[in-house]
Amino acid sequence: MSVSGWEQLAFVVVVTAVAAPLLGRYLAATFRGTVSVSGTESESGGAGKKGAPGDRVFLPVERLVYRTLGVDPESSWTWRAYALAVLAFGLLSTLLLYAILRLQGVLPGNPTHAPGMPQPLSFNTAISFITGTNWQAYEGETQASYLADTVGLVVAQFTAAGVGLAVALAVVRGIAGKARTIGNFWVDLTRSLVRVFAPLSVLSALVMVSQGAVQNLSGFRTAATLAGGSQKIPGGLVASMEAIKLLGTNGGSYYGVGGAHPFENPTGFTNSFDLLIVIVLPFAIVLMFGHLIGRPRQGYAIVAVMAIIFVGHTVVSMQAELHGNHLLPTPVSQVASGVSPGGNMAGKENRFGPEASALMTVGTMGTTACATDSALDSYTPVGGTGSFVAILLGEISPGGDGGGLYSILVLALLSVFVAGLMVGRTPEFLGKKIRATQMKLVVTYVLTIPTTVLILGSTSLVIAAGTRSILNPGLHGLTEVTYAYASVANNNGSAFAGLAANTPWYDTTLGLTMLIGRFAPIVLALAIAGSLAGARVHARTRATLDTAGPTFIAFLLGVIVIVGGLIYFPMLILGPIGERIIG
Amino acid sequence: MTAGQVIPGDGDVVEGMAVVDESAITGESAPVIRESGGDRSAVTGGTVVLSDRVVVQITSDPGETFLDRMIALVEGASRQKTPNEIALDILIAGLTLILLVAVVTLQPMAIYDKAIQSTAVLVALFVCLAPTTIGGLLSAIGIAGMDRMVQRNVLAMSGRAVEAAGDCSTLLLDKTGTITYGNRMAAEFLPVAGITEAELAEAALLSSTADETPEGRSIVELAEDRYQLALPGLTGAELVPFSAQTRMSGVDLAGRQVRKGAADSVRRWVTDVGGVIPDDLAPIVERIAAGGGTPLVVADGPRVLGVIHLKDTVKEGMVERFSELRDMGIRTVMITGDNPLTAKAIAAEAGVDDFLAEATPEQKLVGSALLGQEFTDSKGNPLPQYFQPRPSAAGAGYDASSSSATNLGPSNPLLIGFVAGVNTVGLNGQPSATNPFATKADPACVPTDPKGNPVTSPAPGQKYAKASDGSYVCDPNTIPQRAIAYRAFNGLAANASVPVDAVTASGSGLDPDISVQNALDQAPRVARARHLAVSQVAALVHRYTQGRQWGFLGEPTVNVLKLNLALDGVS
Repeated sequence: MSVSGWEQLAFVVVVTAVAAPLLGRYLAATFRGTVSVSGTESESGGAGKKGAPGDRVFLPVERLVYRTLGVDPESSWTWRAYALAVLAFGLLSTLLLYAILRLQGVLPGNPTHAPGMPQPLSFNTAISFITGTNWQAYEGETQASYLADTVGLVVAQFTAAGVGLAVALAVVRGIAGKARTIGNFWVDLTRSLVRVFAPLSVLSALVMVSQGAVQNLSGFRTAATLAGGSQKIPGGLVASMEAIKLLGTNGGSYYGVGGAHPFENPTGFTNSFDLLIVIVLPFAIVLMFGHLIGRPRQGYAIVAVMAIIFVGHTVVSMQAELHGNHLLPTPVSQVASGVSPGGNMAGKENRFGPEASALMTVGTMGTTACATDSALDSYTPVGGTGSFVAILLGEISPGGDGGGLYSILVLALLSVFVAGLMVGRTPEFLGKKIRATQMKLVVTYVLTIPTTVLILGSTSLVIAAGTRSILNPGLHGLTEVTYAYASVANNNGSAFAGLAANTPWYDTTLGLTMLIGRFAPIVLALAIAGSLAGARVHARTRATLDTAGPTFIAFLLGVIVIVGGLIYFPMLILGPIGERIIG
Repeated sequence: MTAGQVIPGDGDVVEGMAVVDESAITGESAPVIRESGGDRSAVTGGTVVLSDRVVVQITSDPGETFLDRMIALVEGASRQKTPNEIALDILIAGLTLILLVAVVTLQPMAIYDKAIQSTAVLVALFVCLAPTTIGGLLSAIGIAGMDRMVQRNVLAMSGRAVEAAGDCSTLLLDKTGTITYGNRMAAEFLPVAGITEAELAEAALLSSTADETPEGRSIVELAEDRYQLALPGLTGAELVPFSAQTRMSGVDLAGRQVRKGAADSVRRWVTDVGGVIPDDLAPIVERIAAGGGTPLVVADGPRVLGVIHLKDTVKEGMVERFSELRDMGIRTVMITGDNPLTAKAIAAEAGVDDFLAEATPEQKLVGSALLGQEFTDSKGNPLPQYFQPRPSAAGAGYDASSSSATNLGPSNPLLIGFVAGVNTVGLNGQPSATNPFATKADPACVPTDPKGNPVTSPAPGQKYAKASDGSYVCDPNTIPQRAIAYRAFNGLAANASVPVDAVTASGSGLDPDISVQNALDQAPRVARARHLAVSQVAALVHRYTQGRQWGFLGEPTVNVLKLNLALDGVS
């Protein structure tokens, strides 16, 4: 990696290291009233008896919402009720969004005259945005009306983020709390949206606009080019969508090319800024977890694991992209210098260069954001593998808003279990014993996504409906297909865009995969939380395994890499790794 | 077993003492001492005797020694799965499943890549991927755990036990002998007003000379150490040893009767010999008891001298050990049969988290209120301090597993003896008018042969047991003989009337009751034996008399067991 590459990485690390703890404290203060861990807090999942920051501004808004919905903010639910609420909310919002997309041709707010979205595409898109995947098989500029964008897709991006954080809070309450109930879904969702995502999005959008990102209501404007031709320049409410796209770790961009589009990502700073607002919140949520359970050290330990994986796959990709494509003929210089970005510039923007592009793209790949600023399909095999591995490890570096936390907590339970067996005591996490019941749920959780990805991916590779969409021949094509399924199963949404995914086969199967990949882990995580809720907390003794120490950090890393690696290694060999070896 | 031999199985040392190398079990090569008696008598199969000679009684069956159990653990012999094993099974099953999917889905991908894999390759891949080694974890952990525990002199009998040991949350401990040294040691002499400590100490020493119990010895030690008293010469002294009945011990020497014992026993004895109990005795006794100690009152004849304070000392280092346990999250509870005051004091001193006092080992089964039992000494002689039940023909006497009556007919000489005009026979076995075997005491005497069997059909040449004065030895089980014995035992006049139930065996042989008259006849003897007033005993008899049921059914009876228990002051 070049000096500037290290500098850019260092910049991101330092800013995150400063911002995440601060944001974490704010989040903990906001949600502390709803989590009863130390026993001194209120036992219900109520709307907080103690004051949280910003109460004067936010509380009236929240109360209005509760009154409108007819919700009792003091009530706290069992895991089943909570899961049911999440699923019901998801179903209703999907249907609503589906309707908007199908009818957008006749609805107002359509200056670009986008027609109503055809059936399989709307099914896929609606599910995609509600689940936070933001897999866009459609062309943003032409196939989505402004109304659909703002009222439909952007709202979906907000709620997806809110649901993620709400579920994470419920899981925290179950795993670490004293109450038998795990909270109130409406309160969690409302609080997340009102106090976290709304304010932060507004701030971020303003920053982007200051840098030149587009935010207007004009439709296409025709420009007469200098050479005498014409160019239709699209307008749009770009910055606002950008903000929540990134902040909410959604990734669904206004433009089909995502962050590569200059209207979205005009400067080198916005590139870094985009990356930062993607990763800071998930890290902060983990630190919030540590504060809420009264063990900040535990939060830092988990952040350490996430950070190690993050730096790992990012650095590997940056290096690979800088090295460039060795298949290019030698007269093409890929040497990086002050006058040329060098490296693998295919599919990358000049204002970013290979390293910054890799940093941003692969960096966000560890969250469910997939906010790419370059074409993944054009990445070198190793560079592409960096992205792939980030996804395959389960989106825990640092993962989506809330999703990253509960994913890594489940993996922590798995690690604690194996470590506990080696130590010879009944495994316990945060004082609660991990028994067969929990293990069944943990194992199911760990199995669900890989099974879906492998079965659907391999099927697509042998049926014509699947192979027809592949752009690149050979092993790269295999990577296109398997990447697609892995990406949507983990609610990432990025794609090797060479895959023509807007076919009935892919729309349907990918849509189903998104549903499974989002709601199965949610329900299972809530079930685990429910099975641990109200369980007896054992006092910390000399012989308890320290889940915040360096040994456990290393152990957790090991478990994540080995379990993920074992499952996906054959697939990777037949895909990107094989491509590198024989290419 | 002698030096150099390997002990063949788990057992107990019954004779001797030896040095044993237990490294086969503990891995510790420093030898240990195993000796008979005490708690170091257990030996394990596979260990080597290094010196001396011991006799070991093998207590385990072949194939069930400690080593065998460890081997069985490794072999995974059938036993219930521990919770951790079940959870581990789930994990391994899940991982295996997903790896199976990974291998199976590999083929379609390989097909796309135009690199179809042979089944052999896929199977080999699966074998490599499948998690197997992790399954060997639990057995290895179990053995390692058992080994570690054995090094600390704790035998774990299974892997599950090791797991459970790690999950221990509460520890129940016995008091005497576990938390305390178990031997109540004399701590101080507390005289009553007007008596010096030295005088009390001398009397205590004197009264404890015959006392073989550790308490007695500790009293002797304390008197010798602290007061520099020497053990007095005991020629001509009559030693009164400690017994559980009297709860006193002492010595009669040169006209003095020195006694020490439980407060109430000594009080009673002193009042019996005409002494007066000083007022300040009770407070001293109570103070000692409240402090967790045992008070022993000392009296010299009618004079109460003072109290010996026996302390059951808590072992050293207990407080530290209990706080260590607390740090580990283990709660300690002390269980003892002692009274609550003593238990509370000891619990506070030792630092246990909680205690349970007056626990009884399972409420000791004394007998059944519905079945009679014997009150005889080991030779079968009736004990004078207890009310005696009816004669019994159940086995050797009140054998509850073989209830029986005598089934003797009313004219059977075995029942009524040889009564003239009824069943008397002559020496030749022919009916005769008089009883040739009659003795001065018993005209109806039935003779016995030299072996003690009654002879009811005399024949010529029959040998008879004869007393030193030439008279026949009579069979004691006839009613006349029983009556004679009854009168003698209870101090009744030679011709006194004897209640019939006292000389007849019951139908079951297990009748628990005696008649009220029977009890009243025995009362004076019991009162004498227990140094109680006759009126006291009679009152007790009346208290335990059960009238006719509903006023008219059955007969009034006195339950012997309940009465005797009341006498002992336990019920």
